[in-house]
Amino acid sequence: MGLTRLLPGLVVLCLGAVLARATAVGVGLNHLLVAIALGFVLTNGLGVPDRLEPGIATHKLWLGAGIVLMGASLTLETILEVGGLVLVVVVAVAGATILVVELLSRTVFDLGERLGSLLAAGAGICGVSAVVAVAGAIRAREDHIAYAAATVLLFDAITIVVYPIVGDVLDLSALVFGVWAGVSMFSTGPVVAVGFAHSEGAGQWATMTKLARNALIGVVVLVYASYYARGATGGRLSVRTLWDEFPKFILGFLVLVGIGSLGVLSPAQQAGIENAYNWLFVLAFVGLGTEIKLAELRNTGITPAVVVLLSLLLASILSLAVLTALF
Amino acid sequence: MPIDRWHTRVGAVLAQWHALERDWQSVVVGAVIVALIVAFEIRIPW
Repeated sequence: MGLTRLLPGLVVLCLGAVLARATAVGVGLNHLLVAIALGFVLTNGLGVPDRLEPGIATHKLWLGAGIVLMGASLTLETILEVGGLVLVVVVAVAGATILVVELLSRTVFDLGERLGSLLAAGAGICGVSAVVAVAGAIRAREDHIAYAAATVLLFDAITIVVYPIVGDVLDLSALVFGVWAGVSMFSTGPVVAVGFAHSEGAGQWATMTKLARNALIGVVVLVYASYYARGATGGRLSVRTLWDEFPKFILGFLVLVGIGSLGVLSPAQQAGIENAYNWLFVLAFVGLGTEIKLAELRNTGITPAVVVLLSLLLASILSLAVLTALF
Repeated sequence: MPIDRWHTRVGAVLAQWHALERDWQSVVVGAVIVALIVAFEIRIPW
């Protein structure tokens, strides 16, 4: 019964993926951006019928599976070569973004501490997932969660368009562009999309950088939960919280990095896995496009959007300057 | 009877699948794809 409920939406995702690929090959556009555009047109032009929604909602599953498979194309050597420096940049930019959003929210724009914390988590770590995770830890109000999530989605939509243009104009290398997108954009899907829209190498670096950033979510939730639980009875803060919030598909990704590094996969097998994750990404991005709803973006409040815009500009410009200097 | 047993097994697998977090489901999908490609040398066109 579950499968029959999912099937119509899955068929639409598959058709969208094939259409995106065919359009990309025919017209010479990037297939991932075409996939997002198709989803966007579907949801904002025709509207997504209720019976398609369960299947289309599986797009995050396919994105996660694609990231896991991408691990097979990477080697530990590549990651370790510049991984340490990238990790330092990730922690510094995520920490600075959270601090800036918290400061602006509380002192300049008077947004209230809980809404400020939701925006800080969304901008600093991993988009809507971080908003939802921190919301649970700090018992945020429903309207604040919706507000913060809409703000993050608004900037996801903007950065999907702006980052590739900036990357082209500045002629950034694959490494710099990928790490820059991974460290400063918000949600995982758009980061992977603009990375691979630039180049295969940029896509891999963007994804790895974003995964490192996502892995910080447990720590951020723990810190916020501790802060908001002060004085309240028994905030249960533990390794369990860290584990609960940890994005587990990173473990699958790391296992495949290990397998790929051992050299046990033949070139044909690696090519098969690479093609599989390319298809999974196209499938996922058709679904991602359906989440960019103009009506919801219009409901984003101006003040939260200004706070997040300022922090995004700061994180984006500073990280690009640092990365250009480092690599 | 064998068909009943088959139904029970499928039901058990589906129940386990639904009990998994989405992140773990992604790992399972990835593992199945790798296993199929490695075991059967499946060529996926691009």
